[in-house]
Amino acid sequence: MYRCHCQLVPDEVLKRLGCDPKLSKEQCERAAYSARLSQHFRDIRQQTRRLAGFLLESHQLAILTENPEVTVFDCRETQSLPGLQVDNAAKSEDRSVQRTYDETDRMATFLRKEFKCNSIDGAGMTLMSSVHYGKKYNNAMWNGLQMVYGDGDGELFVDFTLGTDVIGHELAHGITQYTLQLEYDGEPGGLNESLSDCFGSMFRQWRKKQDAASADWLIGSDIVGPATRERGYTCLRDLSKPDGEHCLAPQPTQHAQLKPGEDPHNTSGPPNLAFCTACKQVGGYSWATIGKIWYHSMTTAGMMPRMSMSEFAAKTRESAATLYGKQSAAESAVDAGWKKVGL
Amino acid sequence: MPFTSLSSSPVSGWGRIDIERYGGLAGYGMPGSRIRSRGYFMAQDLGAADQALLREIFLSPSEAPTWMRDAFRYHLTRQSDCGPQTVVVAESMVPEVMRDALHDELLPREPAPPHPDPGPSPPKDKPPTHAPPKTGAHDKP
Repeated sequence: MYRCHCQLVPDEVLKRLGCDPKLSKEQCERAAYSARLSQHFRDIRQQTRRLAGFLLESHQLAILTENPEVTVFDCRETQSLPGLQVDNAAKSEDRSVQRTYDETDRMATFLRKEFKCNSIDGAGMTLMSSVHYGKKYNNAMWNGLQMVYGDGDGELFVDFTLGTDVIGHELAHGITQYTLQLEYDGEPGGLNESLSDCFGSMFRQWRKKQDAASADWLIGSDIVGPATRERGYTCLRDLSKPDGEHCLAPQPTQHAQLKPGEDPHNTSGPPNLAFCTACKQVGGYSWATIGKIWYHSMTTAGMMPRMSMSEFAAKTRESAATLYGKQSAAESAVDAGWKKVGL
Repeated sequence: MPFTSLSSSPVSGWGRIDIERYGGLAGYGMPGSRIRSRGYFMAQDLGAADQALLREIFLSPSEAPTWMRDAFRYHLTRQSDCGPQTVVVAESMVPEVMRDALHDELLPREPAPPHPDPGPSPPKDKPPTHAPPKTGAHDKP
C-alpha cells in the first residue's frame, strides 16, 4: 500500500524537506522515505505507459484469460491506494464493494460480448477498483493503473459507484490508454473524455436495454445528490444536449467554439454530440452500430496521442465505410453527426 | 515576485492563501460550470511541515500530472508585493489541512464568468486574471 498524498510531491521538494533543519527528525525521515517511494511509483507508471505502447506496436500482449479477474479494494475513507483488498467482493455486505464488483464484471462482459474486447487491454487485464476513497470525496478517476471511487458528500453527490456510466467512463479511460493513448489536453484530451462518456453511456444503456431513441443520454444522472437535484440539475453532462441548462457542467456544441487550454470535460461536448446524433439517426442500440464504428476507429488507428477531432472524425467515417459499406446508413449517420458539430 | 525574496520571506507572514479546485469527473470550475469548490486558509495557521511544503509548492510548483484521468487540479493564490501569485498543482501536492478549507458550492442557473484555469499543463507562476474569492464561505444550496 502506498500513500497517495506523498506520491506526487516532487522528489526535489521531498529531498529538501528531508534535510530541513527546521523539521523534526521524524518529519525528515518521512519526507526522505516519501521521496524514494514516489520515485518508485513514478517509474512504475512510466513503465506501464511505455509497456502498453510497446505491446500495442508489437502485438506481443499474451492473452492470459478470456474473463478478466475483478478485484475491489477498500480505502476506508483514506486516500491510501489501493487500500485493503476485499475477499469475495461479489458477496460483500458493503453495497459499494459488491456493486463495484458486479458492474465492473458486467462492463467486462459488455466489452467481450459486444466488442470482442477481452478487458481493457484486449488481453484479459485484471480490473482493479478502490472504493470509499477519501472522506465524502466528490470524484471518481482512472489513475493509469486502476479505478478509484469516492463516496460523495451525500448532498451534491452520492456514492460514485451508483453510476454504471461512471464505472464505464473510468474503465474506458483504460481502453483509450491501451489503444489510441490519447493525451489529456487540447483536442486529444477532449476526445479522450468523449470516448469515456460514449462508452459510459453505452454501458448504462446496455444495462437498461435501452435503444438510442429511448435513452436519456445523461452522464452522472445516478450520482447527482439531493441538493443538486433540488436546484434542477439532473446530470453532469448530456450527450444529446451538451449545452443544456439541466447539466452541472454544460459544454460547447460546436468544434469552432473550442479554445486552447480548456479542460477536457469541456471540450468533449462536440464529439459527444456527434456520437449521439449518429446513434439516433441509425436507430437501434447505440453499441450495435455506431459504438462498433467508434471502437473500430480506436483499435485500428494505432497510437495517436495527439489525434485531433477532425482526424478522429475522418477515421470514424473510414471505419463506417469499412464495416458497413460506402453510402450505407451507418456511414451517412456518422457523417451527419460530425457535420452537426462543424466537422 | 523573484524566487530569492519568496524563499527568504517567512511563510507565517504570507497571510491568506486562496485555494480553488478544478476539473474532476464533474468538471469543477469550467467555463459555464454550475459547480465550484473554493476557500482559503491562513499560512500562519499551518504546522511547520505544511508551511515548508507550501513554500516549496510556490517555489517549485510541479504541473498537475496528465496521466491521471478525471483527477482534480488545485489553484493556490498568495498575495505578494507584486500582486497575486497563483500556482496550479495536483491533488497529491496539497495536504489535507489545506484541502479542508475548500467548500463545494452550486452556482445559480446563469452563465458563469470566464475562469482563469489554463488547463492541465499551465505555465509556472502565471499571475491570475481574476480577483481571488472574498470569503471561504460555503454557499449552501
